[in-house]
Amino acid sequence: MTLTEIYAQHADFVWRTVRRLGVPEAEANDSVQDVFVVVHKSLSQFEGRSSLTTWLFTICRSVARERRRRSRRDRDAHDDTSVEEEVDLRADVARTAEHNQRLMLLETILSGFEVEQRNVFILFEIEKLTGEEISEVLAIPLGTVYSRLQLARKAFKQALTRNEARERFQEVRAGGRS
Amino acid sequence: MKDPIPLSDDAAEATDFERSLLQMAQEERLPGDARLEIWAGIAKQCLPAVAVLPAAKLSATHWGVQLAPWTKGLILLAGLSGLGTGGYLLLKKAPITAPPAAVVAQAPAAVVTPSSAEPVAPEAPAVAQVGTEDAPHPAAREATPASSHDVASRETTLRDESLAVLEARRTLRSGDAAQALRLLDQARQRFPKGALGQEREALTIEALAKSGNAASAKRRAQAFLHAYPKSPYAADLQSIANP
Repeated sequence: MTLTEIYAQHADFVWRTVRRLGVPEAEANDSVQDVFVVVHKSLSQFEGRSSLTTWLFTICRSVARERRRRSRRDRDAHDDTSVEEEVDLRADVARTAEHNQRLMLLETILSGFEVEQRNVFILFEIEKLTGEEISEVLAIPLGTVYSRLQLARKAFKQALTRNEARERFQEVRAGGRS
Repeated sequence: MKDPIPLSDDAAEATDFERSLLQMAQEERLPGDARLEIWAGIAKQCLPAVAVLPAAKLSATHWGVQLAPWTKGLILLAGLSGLGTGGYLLLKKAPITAPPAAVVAQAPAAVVTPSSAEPVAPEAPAVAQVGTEDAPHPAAREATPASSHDVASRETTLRDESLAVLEARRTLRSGDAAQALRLLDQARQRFPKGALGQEREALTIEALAKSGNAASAKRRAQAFLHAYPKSPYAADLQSIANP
């Protein structure tokens, strides 16, 4: 396949993936560009032993990791924000930037996942890869894929329940004030 | 072991809200504007390095080592221009449809075949010029090796065209629809067979709508949607086509 074909068919996947892997919206476009520059450089070495999607995910993961690290380093240079505040800060950035409230909620939930669980959850529940494919791309046994998925689903449901409870609490509090 | 059903499809395991949340994430698409901008950035970063390769180096090493894939790339390029359906597949899905020649040269075997292409949508009159970049040309039916000069020239054109369309878009975003229309018209004349036909037409429709020419914008938007129902710009143009 050519770079153009890959971009045409997979740009959406790459964009979704870097966003879901915690790259802030302001940096998402640059990250997608970084991914395709790597694709351009490595295309001749891609032997088709894994599927294109899994190969792209591997590149996305590495680009997203580097972006997050760089963001963290930049922030550390300016202030001493703790890791816990960092998650909240990212949620705030998403809140102001993202128009869609539900996607914002999903991003906030995913940012609270363990990295291993988040990867499995994104690939299975959003990108709909099979367990076998996820096992290949993450280089983990199929059983581990399933167990991480189970934990991620539990965390997903718990986070939504917490969110609902928080919303109700805020409604009650707002009602009490008026 | 068998995979569980994804939550988005499993009404027994997931609530309506959970399913809708995940379905929304699955359907998320890269915005049309960003798609163009990112591709322009990729072209800028990836193409110059190849374009400046001296011809002697290309012939002595690049050609020698990579003759087979290079040839396949050229055949693909010719095929895209000459066969129509393969080109249409790219045109329909890609914001920039002409593959950077040097990239094609490095790619493995060409995979676009007429059988894998989607049916060609009937061409609508108002967007007859959209996508003519891949229109069949008799000369292109014979795969003849392009010179390094041709390759460099094609890449330069691609970059220049990207910049011209981006400039028009910036102008439109700044609120000057009339000037944006002029720039788009210039781009159309300068790159009549350019690779960014869809982008150009989508921006033209938007500029027409913003400059108060609703009837023309509507007609062209409808024609665009008819020709490219799955275009990344389709969602943006729906409100103009069906106000």
